[in-house]
Amino acid sequence: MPTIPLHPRVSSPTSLPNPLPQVLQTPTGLAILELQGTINLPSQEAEDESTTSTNDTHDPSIPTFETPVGKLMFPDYSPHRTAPDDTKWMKRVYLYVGRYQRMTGEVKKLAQPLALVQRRQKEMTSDSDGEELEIVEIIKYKLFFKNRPEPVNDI
Amino acid sequence: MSTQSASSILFTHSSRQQGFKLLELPAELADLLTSKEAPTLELKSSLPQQPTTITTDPENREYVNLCTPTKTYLVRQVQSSNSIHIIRPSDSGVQRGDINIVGGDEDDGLNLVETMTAIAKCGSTLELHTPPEGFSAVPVLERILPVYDEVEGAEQQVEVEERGDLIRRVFADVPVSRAQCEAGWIELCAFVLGCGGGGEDVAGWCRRPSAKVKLDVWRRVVEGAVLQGIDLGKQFLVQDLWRSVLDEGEEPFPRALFEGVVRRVCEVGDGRLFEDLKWASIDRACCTQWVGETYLEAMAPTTASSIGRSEFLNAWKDLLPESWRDDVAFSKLTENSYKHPDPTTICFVYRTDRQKIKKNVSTDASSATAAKKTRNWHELFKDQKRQKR
Repeated sequence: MPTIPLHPRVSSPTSLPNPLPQVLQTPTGLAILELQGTINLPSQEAEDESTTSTNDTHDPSIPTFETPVGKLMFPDYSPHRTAPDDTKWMKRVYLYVGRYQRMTGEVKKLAQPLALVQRRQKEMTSDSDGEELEIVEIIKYKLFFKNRPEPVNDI
Repeated sequence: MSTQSASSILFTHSSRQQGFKLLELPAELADLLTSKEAPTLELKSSLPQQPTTITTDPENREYVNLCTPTKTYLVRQVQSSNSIHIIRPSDSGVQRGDINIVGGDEDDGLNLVETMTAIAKCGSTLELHTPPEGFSAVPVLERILPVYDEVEGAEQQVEVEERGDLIRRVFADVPVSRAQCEAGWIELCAFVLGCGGGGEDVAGWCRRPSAKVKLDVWRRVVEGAVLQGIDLGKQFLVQDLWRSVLDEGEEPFPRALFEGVVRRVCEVGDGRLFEDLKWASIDRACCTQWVGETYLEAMAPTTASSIGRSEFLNAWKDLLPESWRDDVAFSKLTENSYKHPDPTTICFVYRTDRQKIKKNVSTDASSATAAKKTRNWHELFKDQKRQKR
């Protein structure tokens, strides 16, 4: 029975600026957004997604395409004015889906940190054929939208 | 309340979805993984049992364990009805769909330059559990290692340097942490007999001695020590002790077996399994207990073969160095490791039977309270399901 190694985090920090509040930022920029229900994407893209996701998700020749879903807002947070130990702003986060729906959620500290585990990218020269996993990030806070969306006017 | 001052972040869904697993980390594991020298963990699964025997016994189900160098966790996949998306900052260079559908017109456009994009969706998380009884390599090693009950020769000797590798290959099939594997190996006095036969089945090259063999080896060690004037209560050279055991230069049993027994009763630190034994000193309490239990297992394994209590105590004393004779007492034996079939006799109780005794006492009450406390539906309805059947 093979033993599958799970490698600890090797930090490869992202160079992209992270627009999220400090507490949600991680070295790799990865974060968790949890919501009740699903985000329905236009069907055409859903098809594309299914074909690309199963095959070469890392094939750089296929251009990445992003479907806008909505907007994230932290109404009580300001990067300059909010004190680092102030957590009141975390109680309210908006996720606008499309123009007319809004979900209210919060930034929640996870009871137990979550490790994001991914299959380790194989180098072509690697001679070992066994599967290897690695922890790409350890996440302590999540964006959590547990309420149903409510209708809003276009803003 | 003004939302004007708050910046909006464009939220998109990336066409390039990736595969992630979410693993919940107990505090001590999170600390370990965020420490500077985080170790590589291992996911180990149980050996596939004989495929013909499909078992519904929850204890024998296939499972995956996550192992740190010293600890073991049971991995359980928990489905979530919520969608859990992994998001990350987006490269502004990528192609995007019509931004207008989310109200990102020119007037608001500047604010929406910053983008987070969903790159994965997870429907479940992996939880880690440690059962209250903990993990031990002993049951698995007992299953995979053949018993050494009478003197048998090896087809081919194994170099000392190769032994470590062989043992590590055996451990790859034991779904607990390295330290727990080593502890279990030492506890059983397991040893590498020699290679050959059985092909790649490395476990088949190793043995675990029966209680009778262990007792014979130990008896020989004590006798040899007395003859050669080696004080087992002090530090001694393992090589000297081995020489004292030899019968006119002849090996009465493999040296690896002898070393297995010496390791069992000595103060062996973590990770010492693969080192050569040079100097050793015996752990008095641990040795006394082991000798008593091994004697009982060898001489009185069942109720039917139980022996007299005073006979047992005397035999036990005789198997210890002179100065330790007074240590002998029933209280030195592991709890539940023996029973008294009648007021004058005693016999051994195997590990598997000990648990049964313990479980019978506490099952109903504890599972009911556990189910009440937990929000786990499987636990909650487990008992009801059983009753229906």
